[in-house]
Amino acid sequence: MPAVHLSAADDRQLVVRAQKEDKEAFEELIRRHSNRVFAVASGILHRREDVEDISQQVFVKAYFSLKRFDQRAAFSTWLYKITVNECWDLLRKRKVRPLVYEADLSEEQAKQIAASHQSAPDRPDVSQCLEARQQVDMLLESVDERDRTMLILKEVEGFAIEEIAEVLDLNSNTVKVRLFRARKKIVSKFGKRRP
Amino acid sequence: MGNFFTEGKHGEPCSRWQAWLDAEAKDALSSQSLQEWVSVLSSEDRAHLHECDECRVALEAWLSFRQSLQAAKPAAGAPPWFAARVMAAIAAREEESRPMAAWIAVPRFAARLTWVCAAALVFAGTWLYEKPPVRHAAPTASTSEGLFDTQPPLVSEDEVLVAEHNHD
Repeated sequence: MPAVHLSAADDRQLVVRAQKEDKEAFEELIRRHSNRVFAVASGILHRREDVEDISQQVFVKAYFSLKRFDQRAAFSTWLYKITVNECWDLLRKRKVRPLVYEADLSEEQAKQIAASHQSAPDRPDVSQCLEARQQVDMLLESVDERDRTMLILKEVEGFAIEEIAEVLDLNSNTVKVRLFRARKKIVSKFGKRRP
Repeated sequence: MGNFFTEGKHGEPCSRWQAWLDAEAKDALSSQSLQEWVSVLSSEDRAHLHECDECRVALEAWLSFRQSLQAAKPAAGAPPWFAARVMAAIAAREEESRPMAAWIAVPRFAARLTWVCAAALVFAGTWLYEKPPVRHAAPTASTSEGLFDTQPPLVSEDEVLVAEHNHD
């Protein structure tokens, strides 16, 4: 569900209304963009509690900064920019690895994962999923934080290069070059891991 | 499976496969297998992929990794109560930043007020202590008149002369 699929024109109108302190308009903006903000935050943070807290923080921050938002960029891009910065701030403050391993999951989270897999019997079991996730996370660990975010935005969330450049305050060519290097590194490691 | 990026005869390994990933028109996210990729490539790219082992192996590895990456993505999005929670947080923040009533503000500023009062007392005390005493002129001679007797008004010499002249 790429961001461009949501009507940008409607967003503009909602933003104008929200800038005039129309709370219903802002609530509508939250409904439209919360899933994607959650997805972007999940790509960086992984822990559900952190994702929820950061997503809330993102929208609160957006609400109080909305009057300064001049609509030169799309509202969604501006929102994802706040999301990425808030996630990085949290990681910097905590100075912890952003990755979650099986042992880090709470009992409730493990139950949730198990429940989601029971509803789809053709899917692999929880331990297989967690193992696959660990492998993916370990591969992602081989690239730096910024490149990891780029890869997730591009390959999981389907952001365009230009959109990633705007979110991360980089030049499009820089994004391409960094993606190129990150992919190369990951493919090289992935190849070595496979039998 | 060989090592993808060992430098061969031609120096840098072929990385044409990466350009295909960046091309948005190919709907890269939905194409998961190499077969799907081959079907959307141009005939020139298809020929290259057929000939170039490096690109084929790397692209296959990348697609496999990407599939795992997408599978590892948490499925659940924002919960249904999320918007209400955000609006409540915004309302709470607005409430906090609203100007306080004076009587609520007193306890908040009590400590500062105490310091200001203490400083004012010290300053006033020091000033009064240092102030030179005012000297009042002492009476030169004591009179027999009582304390509450009214003093006769002072009359100038001119007024006496004018009065005498009128009398005459």
